[in-house]
Amino acid sequence: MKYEMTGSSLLVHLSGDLDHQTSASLRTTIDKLLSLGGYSEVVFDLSNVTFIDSSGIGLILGRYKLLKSLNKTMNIKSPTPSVDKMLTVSGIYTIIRKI
Amino acid sequence: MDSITLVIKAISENISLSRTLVAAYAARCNPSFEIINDVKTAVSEAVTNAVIHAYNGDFDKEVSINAHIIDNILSVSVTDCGVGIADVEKATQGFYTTRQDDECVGLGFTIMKTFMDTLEVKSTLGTGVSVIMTKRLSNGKCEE
Ligand SMILES: Nc1ncnc2c1ncn2[C@@H]1O[C@H](COP(=O)(O)OP(=O)(O)O)[C@@H](O)[C@H]1O
Ligand SMILES: [Mg+2]
Repeated sequence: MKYEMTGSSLLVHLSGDLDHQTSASLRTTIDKLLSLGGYSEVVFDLSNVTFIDSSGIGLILGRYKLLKSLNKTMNIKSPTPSVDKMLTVSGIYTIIRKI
Repeated sequence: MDSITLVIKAISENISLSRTLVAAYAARCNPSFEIINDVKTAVSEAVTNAVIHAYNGDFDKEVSINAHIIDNILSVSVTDCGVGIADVEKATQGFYTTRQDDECVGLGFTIMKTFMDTLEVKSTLGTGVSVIMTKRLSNGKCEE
């Protein structure tokens, strides 16, 4: 996982497969980063995510809830067509904006 | 009749192996990239459920994955011998989950239903779960 800060926007690049095996450790890493603060908005760049199932959806949804509780905005950027299909089917876009 | 069978220990490291194997098997019928990915996702959901829910974390237990193709239609079954599901109808409804951790959003069965053509879930309490899913891979003739 890589990240960069532009102004008050935190851009987090996720990569590889987001499934049950990878989600648990990724959650710890992301939450550690989010706990540092200093941003008002978080953007998850999914352009390098090769696969996602409902465990990965749970990871994204969990970060959304966490950020919402902190009064921060969360957006999703550049999912591949297959990841985009999964996000659509699971209803993620009804609560998280794709930019 | 041709078929493949994979037996794995119920650990999360084997989930990606399982979905990749079934996807590679389905690829012989030249399905679209979207269909391959639908299959991969549905298999991932079924195997993940067996790993997470069936055995209360007993890594030594096994999950078996079987696949065959007849007339361009892929059939995949994922079977465990774990705790089973008391009420299958309830469990397969969207957003139903018995786990409160982040990664269980209760969408596994919904995804399997949406991404495959048919889904059958056989279970009774204490006898494990068998998930059988089918999907048409392509309209042309499959070179088997
Ligand atoms: N192989 C299984 N063995 C026992 N229970 C299962 C199995 N698969 C699914 N279940 C039950 O069905 C519920 C719904 O499954 P699913 O739709 O995949 O959602 P999730 O896995 O996120 O809980 C699970 O919470 C679990 O109670
Ligand atoms: Mg599940």
